[in-house]
Amino acid sequence: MRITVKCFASSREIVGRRELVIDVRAGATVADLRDVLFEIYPRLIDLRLRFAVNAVYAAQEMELHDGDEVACIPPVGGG
Amino acid sequence: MGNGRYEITPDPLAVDPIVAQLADPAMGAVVTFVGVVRCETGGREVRYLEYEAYPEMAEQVLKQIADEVRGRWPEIRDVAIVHRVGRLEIGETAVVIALSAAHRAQLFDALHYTIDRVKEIAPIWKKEVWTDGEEWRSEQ
Repeated sequence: MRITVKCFASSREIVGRRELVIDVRAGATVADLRDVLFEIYPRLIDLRLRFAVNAVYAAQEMELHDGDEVACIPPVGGG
Repeated sequence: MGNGRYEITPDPLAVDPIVAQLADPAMGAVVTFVGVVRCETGGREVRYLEYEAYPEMAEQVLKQIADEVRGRWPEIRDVAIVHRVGRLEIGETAVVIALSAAHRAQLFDALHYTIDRVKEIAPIWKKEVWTDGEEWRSEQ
């Protein structure tokens, strides 16, 4: 399955771009994708990331589907 | 429900048009919060701030916050939350929140709740750029 990963703020700086496409096996969860990202970009591990799937906060156990857009959400700080 | 506005924009913010959007003959009170870039944080001199957002998601989250506010305080009628992104200089407005109701009771509590929730869950990030470094900041 092809997953588009969007990166923001500190995660964008670590990855070096705003968007990546990652291939994961069918049935992969947010946690599986997270582990792939952590392997490629170990510095992401320290960020206390949350994840969103298709622009909604998602639990780690959530199953992904081909074409999903997953966002890396470092600790937010608007206002 | 009337004239909600939930927006992420790179453009400078003006308070009056946002308040004007909440106009309604039955409304007797509007409260606003205006968040402004200040020149100092924790003893360090700030040169400017860089805000970034995930706009498609942030606008949905701002609307969700407005729904939460109206759920907790049914007397609140309209909610506007507009947040700017990009490079902001000292004194520029980063966020405007406006709430309207028939009467002022509850508006202040609701406003406090709204800004707290924006800082807590909206996918918006702030980088402080000091004279001697920079850092992404979060109160979480």
